[in-house]
Amino acid sequence: MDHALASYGLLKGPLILADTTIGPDLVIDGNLKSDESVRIDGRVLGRVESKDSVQLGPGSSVSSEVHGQRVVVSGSVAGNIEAKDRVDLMAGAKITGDVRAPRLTIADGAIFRGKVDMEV
Amino acid sequence: MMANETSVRMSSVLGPSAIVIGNVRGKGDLEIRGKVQGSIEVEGRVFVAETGVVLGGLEATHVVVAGEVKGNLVAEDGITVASSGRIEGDIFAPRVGIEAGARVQGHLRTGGELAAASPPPRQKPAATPQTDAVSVGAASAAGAAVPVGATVPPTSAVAQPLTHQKPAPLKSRPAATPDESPSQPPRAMTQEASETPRQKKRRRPRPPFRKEPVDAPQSASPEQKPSQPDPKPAKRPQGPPKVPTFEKGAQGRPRS
Repeated sequence: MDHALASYGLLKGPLILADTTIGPDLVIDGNLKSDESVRIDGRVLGRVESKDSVQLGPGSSVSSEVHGQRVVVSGSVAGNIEAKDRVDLMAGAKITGDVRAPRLTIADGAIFRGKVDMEV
Repeated sequence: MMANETSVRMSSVLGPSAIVIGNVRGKGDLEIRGKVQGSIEVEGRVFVAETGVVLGGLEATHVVVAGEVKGNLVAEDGITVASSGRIEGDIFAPRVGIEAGARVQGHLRTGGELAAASPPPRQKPAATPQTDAVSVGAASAAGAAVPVGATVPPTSAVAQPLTHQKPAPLKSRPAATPDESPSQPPRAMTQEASETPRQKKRRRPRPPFRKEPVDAPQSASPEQKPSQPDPKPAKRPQGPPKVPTFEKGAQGRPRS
């Protein structure tokens, strides 16, 4: 149910039509960089960098840093998260790393281990 | 939710501005509008859009290329190259379709047995640079699709000029080295001298053309002069059997 809500919350937003989508069974063994919105439901063994929004779906995992204008995390991230606008840690999210963003929300059920820096 | 999940599972898209530096593997369909620097191994269909660029191998069940792929293409089902597709690499698939206008440079193998032999594609990354080197000349000349058989002769053609360049100095040096070092400049002088009275007056428009070949041996001769006159006359008895085989070795040995 948490996953359903989380995914619903993700799919509900304007980010539903991401220009770059990584499916749940896809693995990127490297870095992903884009100027447009990114949605990841699979795994990225590297950095994720976008000048637009970044969505990390419920089953996703990113093993390095995540940069974006807005970062919404429902999966697991092992690395720092940096957003120019805001970071949303949804229920089911598991973050090991620091978060740096002017605005941050942590939903009930999110696991977060790291520091927060909102002095951007 | 199920519909959404399945739809999501079936589709992965790399946007036009997306750049992936690394390998991509997994399951599901993949549409590449951006750039991938690395290999792709996917159990599913892969579509390389017109703006898509893949710099690396690409393995999938079915591949449609409308963009650019520099690497080997292997598909279990089939490969289709659209008219806007550009491929530099080998293609292996049971069924291959290449539309008119597509640019394909590399080997092509169709049929289940040949395509099933997966080891060849791995051997071929080494072959791709050769095909690339070949394809440059072939592409500039032909500018269109290069069939499999066409790539083989160009490799020999490419190899020949290299071999020609090597034996040419070989022939000139062993025969000419002792004598030519003194003789070449006089030859040049004699040519100029012999030509000047006869031809300079008669053939004034041509001197620029003849000066070039005359300059070339002169430029080549000073290179041979410094190394040869001193060591080689003493080392001739040792040298001559060795010299014809490897010219570089002959140069390296007297230096050492």
